[in-house]
Amino acid sequence: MAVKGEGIVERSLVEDDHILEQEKLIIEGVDVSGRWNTFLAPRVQEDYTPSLEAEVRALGVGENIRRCWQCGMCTASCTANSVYPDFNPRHFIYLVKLGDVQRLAKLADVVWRCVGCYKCSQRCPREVNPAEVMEAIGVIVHRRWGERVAREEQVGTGAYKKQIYGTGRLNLATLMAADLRGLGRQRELLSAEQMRIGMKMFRDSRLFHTLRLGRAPGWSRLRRVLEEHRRSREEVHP
Amino acid sequence: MSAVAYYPGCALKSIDLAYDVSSVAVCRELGLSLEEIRGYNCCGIGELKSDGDVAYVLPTRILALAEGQNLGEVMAPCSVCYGELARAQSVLAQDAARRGRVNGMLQAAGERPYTREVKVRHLLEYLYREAGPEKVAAQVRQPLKGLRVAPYYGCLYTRPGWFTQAGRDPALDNPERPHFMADLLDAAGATVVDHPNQVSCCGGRNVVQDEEGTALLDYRILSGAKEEGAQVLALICPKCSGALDINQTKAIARHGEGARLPVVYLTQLLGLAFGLGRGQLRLGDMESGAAALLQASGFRS
Amino acid sequence: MSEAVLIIGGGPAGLAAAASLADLGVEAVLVEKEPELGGTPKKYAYSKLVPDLRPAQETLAPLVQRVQGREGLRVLTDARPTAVSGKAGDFKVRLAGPAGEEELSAGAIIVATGFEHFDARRDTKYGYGIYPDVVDIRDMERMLSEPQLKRPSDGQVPQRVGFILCVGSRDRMVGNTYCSRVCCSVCCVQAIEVKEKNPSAEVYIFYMDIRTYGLLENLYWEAQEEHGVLFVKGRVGEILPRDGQLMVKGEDTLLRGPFEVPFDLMVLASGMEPGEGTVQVAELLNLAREPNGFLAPRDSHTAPLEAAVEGVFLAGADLAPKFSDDAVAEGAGAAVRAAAFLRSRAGR
Repeated sequence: MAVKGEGIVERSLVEDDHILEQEKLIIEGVDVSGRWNTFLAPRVQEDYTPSLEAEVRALGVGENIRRCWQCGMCTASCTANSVYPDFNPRHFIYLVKLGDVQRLAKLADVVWRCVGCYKCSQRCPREVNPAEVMEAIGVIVHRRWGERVAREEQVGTGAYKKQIYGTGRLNLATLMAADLRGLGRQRELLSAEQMRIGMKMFRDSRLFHTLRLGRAPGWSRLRRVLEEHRRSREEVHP
Repeated sequence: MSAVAYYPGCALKSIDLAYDVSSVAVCRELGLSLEEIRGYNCCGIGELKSDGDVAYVLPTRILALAEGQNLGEVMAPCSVCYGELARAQSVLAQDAARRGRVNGMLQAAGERPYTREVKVRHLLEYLYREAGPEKVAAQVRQPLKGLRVAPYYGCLYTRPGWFTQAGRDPALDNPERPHFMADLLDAAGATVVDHPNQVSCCGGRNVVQDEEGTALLDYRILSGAKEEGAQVLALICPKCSGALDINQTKAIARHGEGARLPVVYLTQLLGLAFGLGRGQLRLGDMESGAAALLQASGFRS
Repeated sequence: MSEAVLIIGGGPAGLAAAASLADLGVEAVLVEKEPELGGTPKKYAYSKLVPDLRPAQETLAPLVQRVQGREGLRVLTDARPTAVSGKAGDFKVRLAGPAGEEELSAGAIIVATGFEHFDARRDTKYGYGIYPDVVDIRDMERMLSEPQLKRPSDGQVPQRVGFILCVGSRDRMVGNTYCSRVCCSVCCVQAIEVKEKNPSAEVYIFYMDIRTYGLLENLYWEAQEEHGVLFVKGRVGEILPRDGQLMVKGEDTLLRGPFEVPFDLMVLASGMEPGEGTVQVAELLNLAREPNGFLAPRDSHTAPLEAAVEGVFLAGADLAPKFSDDAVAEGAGAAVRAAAFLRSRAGR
């Protein structure tokens, strides 16, 4: 069976839901099925949602988004863009400033690909700090379209926060275990490679050091304070 | 010389113990006196930033602990820890209201507030400025002659300049074209290999979430250095090690043998040149074959 | 009490001030730190000057001629003020020159110390000072003064030439947030010159926005319409050497995606900063500077060519980035203000 929009030359530039194509269509006895009836829905911006920018700015990390003048220095310098062409920080910032909710929603699973390398923030002529604006946009995307974000990212972010806020320390071994369990990949913990590394770390004493990491001293009180503040923040911006 | 507060962070106290012990040993050899921060916590590892003020509490607590030990400077070997500390330091220096809120949270938990200014330094800059190539050269007992080393600086060692002051404070390294590691390796007798991706990102942040993307970034760095003739890649960050050393096999599996290149910490190489023992270098901890390569090249630890 | 005016700076503004004072019959001394008169356009051998694109020599020569052999006008080159005391009507100025030190009296001082190009080495991502074929607009002026445009590395005629606008201007990272105003027009002119010298060359200008303000818009149009210069909207993030060429990486924001295109020669539109002479004279005379470091006038509308310090007048690119024709107009204006000031004191 033919793939929808197959006949379009620059197919990658056209978004799926703009392709109007009937699989079976006969008009006045002529079979115009599939590519013979392809139409493209017009791409007309019909409204703006200014509250989206306000939402990003309110997060604190996105506070400098208004400085952006769309020069493209961030994307020009972007590590993630070199792997994922749809990850375009300049474009994300533009979508948020305009409040183009529909286009941003389509890119919900791309936003988290930022590797946090700060090349954009280093070079940005207006000191927008795009790296951290992307963090803020990521939060908005999680809130609005969390179900569209890859499970790996949801599990990963959750595991980090649970462990760091919970213990005040980062235990890379238990973190990875939590990640894999969250993804239903716990069997990989017992792979030959993991067993080899585990044995090696047992012999060279690193396993002992890792087990000893525990919690930061006096952490339980700080944990309560931090959780309280995180909760009140969530209440302000549900 | 007065001591500097040493903040190893969590990775260096567990999986990346090699970086901790070699950093401490190299500093000792160079006559630099470190005082480890007592009761430290995780810096936040860049994963909490979107939580706003709460995220500043973690690195700020570390600055406050240094202050409590009467030390005016904190030095971190891990670039992620360094980045988080530098971010908190520079933001709170300019934003008194935020500083008040962050200190409020610390005090509510019975913790010491951060009241003075504590300077934040990266191990590499600290070694370069407090010892420098000359003192390093003077400590060398086993020159790394003939060893072709590619220095790899990564991201947060200098970026962004308005947190770290790199590019503004002339004492710091150049954020686009750093050279401190190259100069120290040269002083240790190694042949420094210039390669294209010295400040490119290893993708360490998404090493679990996005194996495919990380493998590609790692392949570019490793193969780029290898093509320029490097035998080994030198690091200054455990997160980079997680991607380039521990996960190197994944880059090789996806992109081929071009990504096979032994990876070590800078301080392990300096320590090797200083003639330090195995327990202070822990070369065997590295996953990508550094110990075997260095032994085969005739260097003894 | 002195009737003479000291003019500091022998560029377009200072030359115009000196000639105007001679026309008005006011005694004056013109001091220039370089061995030759003509200011930055002369020092860096500019090729053609905006707005009418005549060779810089043709434009500068009459300005210099107008100050030579004039009655009551002394011209000192290779000289600079080292100390100033006294006050309006009776400044005592110590000058250091090739013939040693001297002290002179002046009733008024005109400061026309001009600008310096932004040192593009400070913006390290472009590799200026490391890769010979990355040049700035100042180097390019000199290169375009030659009969043939050749690239520095190997003397070949560059076939593909790129310009990057706003280097050292409008950039918090390098510490200059203002627009240098001239660079868009200068790059259009240089692009046209590249095409005139080698019509088969491809010329691209990487821009954020084009500020060929006022009547200069015609340069932008001419570059596009007559010479086929191409404008790419987007920023260049880095330049790397590759196989004898320069690999230019950036984002084309209209295409919404990255580019990595090889070039033979890259020109950085390094902006304007207050020169070292401006900083030094501001300290000597205790002149106020605006936040970017340029000299601040007493009032933007009632006293645009006067400093807050009585008896000190300002003209040219030490006030803000500007073209040489504007600097000439200000030089003449400052001369009139200085002459009027001396006359009002003499009448008192």
